[in-house]
Amino acid sequence: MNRVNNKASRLIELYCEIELKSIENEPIITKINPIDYPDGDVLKIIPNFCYPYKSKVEKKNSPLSYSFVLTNESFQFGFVRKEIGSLKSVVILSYWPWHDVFLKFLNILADIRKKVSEKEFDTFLSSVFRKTIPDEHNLINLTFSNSSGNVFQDLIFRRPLSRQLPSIPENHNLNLFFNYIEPKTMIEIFAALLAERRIIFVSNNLDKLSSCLQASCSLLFPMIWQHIYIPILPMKLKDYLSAPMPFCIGCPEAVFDTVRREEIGDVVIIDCDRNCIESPHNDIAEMPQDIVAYLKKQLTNPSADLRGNRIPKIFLSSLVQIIGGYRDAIKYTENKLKFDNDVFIDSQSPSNKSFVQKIVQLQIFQQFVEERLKLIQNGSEMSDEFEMEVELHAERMGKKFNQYKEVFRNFRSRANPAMKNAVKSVRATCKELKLKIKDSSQKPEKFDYLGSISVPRKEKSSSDPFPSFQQFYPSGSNNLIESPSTSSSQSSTSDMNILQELEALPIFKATSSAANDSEHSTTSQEIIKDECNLIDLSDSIDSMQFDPLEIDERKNNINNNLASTKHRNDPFGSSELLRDVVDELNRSSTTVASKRSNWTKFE
Amino acid sequence: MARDYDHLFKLLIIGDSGVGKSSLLIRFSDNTFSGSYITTIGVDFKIRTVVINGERVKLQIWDTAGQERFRTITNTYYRGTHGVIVVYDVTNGESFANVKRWLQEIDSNCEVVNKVLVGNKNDDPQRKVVLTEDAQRFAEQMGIQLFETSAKDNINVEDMFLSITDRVLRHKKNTQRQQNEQNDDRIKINDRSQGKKKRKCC
Repeated sequence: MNRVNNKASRLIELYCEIELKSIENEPIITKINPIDYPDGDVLKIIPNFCYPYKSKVEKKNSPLSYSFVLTNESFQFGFVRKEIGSLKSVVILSYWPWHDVFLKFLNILADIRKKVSEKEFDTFLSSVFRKTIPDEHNLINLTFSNSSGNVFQDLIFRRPLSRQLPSIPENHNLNLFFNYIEPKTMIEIFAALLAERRIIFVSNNLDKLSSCLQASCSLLFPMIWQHIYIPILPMKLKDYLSAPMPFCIGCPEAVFDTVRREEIGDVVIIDCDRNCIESPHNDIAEMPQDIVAYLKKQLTNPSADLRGNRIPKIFLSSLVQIIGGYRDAIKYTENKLKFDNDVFIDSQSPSNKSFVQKIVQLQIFQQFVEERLKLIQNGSEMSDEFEMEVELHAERMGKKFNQYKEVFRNFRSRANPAMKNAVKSVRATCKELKLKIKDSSQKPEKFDYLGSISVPRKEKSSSDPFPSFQQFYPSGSNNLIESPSTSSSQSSTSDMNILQELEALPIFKATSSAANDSEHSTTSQEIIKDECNLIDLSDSIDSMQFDPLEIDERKNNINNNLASTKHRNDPFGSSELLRDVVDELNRSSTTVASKRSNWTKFE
Repeated sequence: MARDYDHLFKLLIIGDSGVGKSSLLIRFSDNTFSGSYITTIGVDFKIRTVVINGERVKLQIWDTAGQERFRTITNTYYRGTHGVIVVYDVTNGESFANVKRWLQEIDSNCEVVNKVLVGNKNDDPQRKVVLTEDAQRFAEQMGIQLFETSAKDNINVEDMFLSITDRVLRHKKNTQRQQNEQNDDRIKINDRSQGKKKRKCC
């Protein structure tokens, strides 16, 4: 369930000014608007969020602004601005998570406040309270005109999209997160969040603290942190660090220094200033290691530009690989949609399985499923970045398999019967060989690709209301993301060995000689070899899918080759082209292998 | 600083909003004037120290907002707590259905074995819709104790809290005893089976 209230009617709920008269006193509210603001509990606690701990006037060059969050059922965001060299603060409260807009708006308010009478200022605030929220994409115009009608200050902004991934530099929280948290720490935070730990962020900078915490939680998208969520914890509430339930709490260093560690028990502590994490758990080790390797590779690639929505997207891709297949576990029984945890776990690749067993036990996952079921049941639109990424991911896989199918179809239709028989026999032999190898339990997984030749891929009918994620993964290619320790080039060499082994088998010789009788004899053998090679290399592509861009490039090359195949009638020619494709693929797998050795170094 | 207690237990109180969790806590707590943060930070706790068989037991009872939005409450929520107080409103059938579902889904292998079922607002027979027999049958089925309370009229509240505290304390002592026995065994067999920990679900 979304904890952000997307139906709030007002832009802001409250404006107030707070003053800490002296270090000995408690901060107090000196002005509120609207005067009849109804929530006494909120008014009581707000001064504590402006002055989470007492300190002397900070000598800073620019005003400090940051956000805090109030959580009842849905979130309310508080935006604070502290003036330079004074103990006065301004707070606005809103249901809208538009950090960038409101932090900017605070500066504008401060400017107006300084220059006009209180009455004029209040009139302007009233007009802001009356503002209606337009539909997405539309502009919101906050213009302050003075009594003579001249525009004095204005802020015009497009209503931020609720379904968009946060982006650098537009997103304040993500900017700070990116600036202060190293990739290695990002992954550790992500792992702790995915284990629903009790997590404390610590920093001496309130803006950094609050932003890093909020940006961290946003990486869970499409899941939403369901537990205690306090991006800024005032000194007064420090006992809440001993809450036994999962939480994400931002603890100013001055507050954290007063806490007795033995009283808070097992917690994950993220020090945003020193970029280190301390945890009694080993949550990264619990994650599928190929996904951890993927995150490391993507986040530390020196040539990659991590601006824009790249960081959220990298984490989203990793989640797509874990929970992207959720639709396959939805069952329709007794007029109701139900999510079957066991089906979901069973549908996972071996490397994901144990982790997914934990995932289904998470509140964040259960709420995600609940929300999606509701959307499906209501026939609502589900076109968010996550669903798009799931589709893309599936499409990427599907497209590739369709390509191979196409290639084989071409060959089959062109080759003569002798050649067809040869292919058939080789397949049978492959199968036999595979079984044999399995029996002798000699690393059977290496030969899975051979199995995938003979097992027809089951296609789901297009009328299926939930396009399956699983269908794009052939039974043998659980190495969708292969463990980084196995190098593809190695595996293809060993596969060539199998081919040689195959050729030595009597049945292969028999079929080859049958093929030799025909005029296409050489080609047919070549094609058989190529076909095996291609299947082998298709697996290499599978394992390369860490880098979509690179794969796309390779695919384009292959596509171009295939396109020219279609224009030729000569079956011999097509075989040569196929060999080009194979060469191309071979080159890519070597690249992947060298990249892999780099990751190992990184690790 | 010397500790002011012999045992510290963290308990959770769960149930729909409106079933009277806060009232129960206020009734029970040492300090009724300490205000509540549940509407602002979504979590609250109350403290009370009770003496059971001469031992000082400090209880922290934790409550979070908006639990009714969860169809299931997963085990990660209970991780780290010693006991759970599950509250429904005897005048609200839906609140009973919710706690029934939640209770059924608390993993039976979970360390959190200490649970108590509480039917609150049991002060107006006219409005009661969840019958004692039904609740009692369900409680027996789950192997837990049922208390029908009224925070308003202060009926059964004290007994209920003392009962769960007693359960948690006994559980702790049993576990300690078992561990000691295991340790004794280990010493006997020359301490070879080190590191064999009790399996936890979460």
